[in-house]
Amino acid sequence: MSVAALRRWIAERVPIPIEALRQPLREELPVHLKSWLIWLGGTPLILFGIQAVTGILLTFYYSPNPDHAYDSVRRISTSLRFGWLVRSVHQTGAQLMIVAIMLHMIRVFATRAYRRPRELNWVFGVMLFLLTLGFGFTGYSLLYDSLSYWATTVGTNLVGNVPVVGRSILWLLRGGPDVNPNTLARFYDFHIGVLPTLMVLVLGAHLLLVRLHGVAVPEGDTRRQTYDFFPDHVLRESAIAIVLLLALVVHAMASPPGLGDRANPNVTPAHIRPEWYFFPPYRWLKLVPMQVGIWTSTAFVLAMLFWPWLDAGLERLAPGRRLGVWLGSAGFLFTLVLLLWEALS
Amino acid sequence: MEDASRVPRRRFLANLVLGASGALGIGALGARLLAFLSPPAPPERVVEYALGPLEVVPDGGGVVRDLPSGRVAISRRGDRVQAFSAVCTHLGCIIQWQPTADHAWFCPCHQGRYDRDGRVVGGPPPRPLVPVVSEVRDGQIVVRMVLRLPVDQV
Amino acid sequence: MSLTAQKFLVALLSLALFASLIVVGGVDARRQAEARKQAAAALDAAANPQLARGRAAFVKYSCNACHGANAAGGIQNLNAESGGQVNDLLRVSETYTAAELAEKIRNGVPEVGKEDPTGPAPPLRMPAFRDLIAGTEMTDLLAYLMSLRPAGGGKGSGW
Repeated sequence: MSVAALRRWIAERVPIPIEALRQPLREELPVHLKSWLIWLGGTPLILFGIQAVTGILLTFYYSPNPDHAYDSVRRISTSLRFGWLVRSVHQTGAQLMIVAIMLHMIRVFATRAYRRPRELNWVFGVMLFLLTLGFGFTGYSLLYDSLSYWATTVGTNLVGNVPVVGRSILWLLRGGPDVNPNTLARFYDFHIGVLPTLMVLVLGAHLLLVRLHGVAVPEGDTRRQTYDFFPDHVLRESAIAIVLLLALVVHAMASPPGLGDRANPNVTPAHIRPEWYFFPPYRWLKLVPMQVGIWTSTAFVLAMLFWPWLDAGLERLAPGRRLGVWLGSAGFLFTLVLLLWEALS
Repeated sequence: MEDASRVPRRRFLANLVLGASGALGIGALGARLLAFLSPPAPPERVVEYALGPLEVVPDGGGVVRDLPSGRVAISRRGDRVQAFSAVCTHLGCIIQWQPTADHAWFCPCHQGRYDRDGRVVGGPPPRPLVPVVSEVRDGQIVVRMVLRLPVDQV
Repeated sequence: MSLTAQKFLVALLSLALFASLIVVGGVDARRQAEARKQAAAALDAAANPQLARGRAAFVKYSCNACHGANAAGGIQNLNAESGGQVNDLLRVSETYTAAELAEKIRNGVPEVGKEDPTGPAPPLRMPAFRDLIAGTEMTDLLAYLMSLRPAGGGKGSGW
């Protein structure tokens, strides 16, 4: 059978105009996409892909039953072939993904790319950030060693302090009045079912908007040249992906994943802490009364979500003064200070 | 757009090198991940179990014993014993001692029937019972079976 | 960067990845050897019914709740002189006879030494089991305890 005949066979049954498929490959991208700052956008996506693959591999052996969870993680880390590699890449990949998203957010903030007409994309972006934090929280809870168990317990208890809806959300998270055998299964389901679905949907919307609007041109960049999507851009993205993978593999060898003691619901270890990306709210809540902490943290997240409008309002208030830049930078620095303070104490 | 006057041979070489190293990289990754999905076989040991003096099995009778290696069916005549795996060869149920005119071991699941020598004399089992090496040593019944750790305890 | 150069860069990176995965294979082989040794030890214990019974007794009387899973320690005991944790039992065969161990189990340890004399008393203490564990159960438990050995690099060494 000739290639042409095969093509005709497929074209008859899957009537997509071939040109529509070829089009993206021939696309020409503006050269400001070559900037390493813009690379920061693709990086979280690549890492998400790595997380999805390693995550699915881990589900072959992980058991979300409280009696078996810890042992299944231990088994993955010690007796399975390359289990330590898969687990390490997944764990480190998670941290890297959070860092990558933060860097991407900083870039978008610094280049003010969130302004009209891209406000909605910023909102989706912040949602992706929150989803990623959710992944981190639920994923960490699955280790079921003593640190992770108690960090999860404290974390969910905090949610219970939210006014009005707190108790209901807590009930939903735990699957009952307190931590029970269902709780771990629930967190597992969030981690492998609910969050990935939401992530893919919001990611789809985010990428669609980027495609429709194009990547915002940084202020002052007046270059008009273009370069090919295929093979130039594809090669660039491939290089980044391989570098990330290489870094993760080398790190896995240099620092294999460890595991603390088995979780004991009757014994709380002396120093429980959440993962580093939760240090800012953790430190903040230690400084102020609980309700104040909850309200201010919520306000902070809302400010992040609706930043484009906040920034536009500030711009109208004091045109040219760049109040938005000052406020946003101050907010970021404050978060950084809280993070370092908690990290060093 | 790509320079049309680019030396075709150089482009071919570049593509070849790219393709080959890409294949190596992806191949190695794939191999590692596939190996991950194939757990190592659990270690095995041939172990001897001392079941006790001859009298633990009634003379002319049979018992089923639960050992770490699995369940074993032992019958005795005088000072000779015969041991088999107590797992029915049909679908894996555990057989019972049921001495009648035509059979000695009986499987309750689908009424499989075996004689003293483990041969199938009735019902659906496709093969005779798997024999287990056994002997009487200084009046003690000793059986030898393979011990394997459960996969999730490896 | 020219297209050819980019292709060679990606090729180089792919080869680097390939090389790192070869090294990964070597690292894994070493870890496998270690894991197989531990599995063989576990198999030994399983094959020895007395050790299996002793281990069951260890769990039955909740010894593992304080001395850790597999007696490997790791349970916190604030201000205890054994490093702020309940001591593991992996070397008891070197320091005690079976009879001395039986003594300790029967009579318990009423007061655990403090790491910081001015600090609080450690909350966890070895209880006195008296005649609760006796006969073959005690013999099996003792056989199990005397069979314990520290793993490769000592308790809690990195994976």
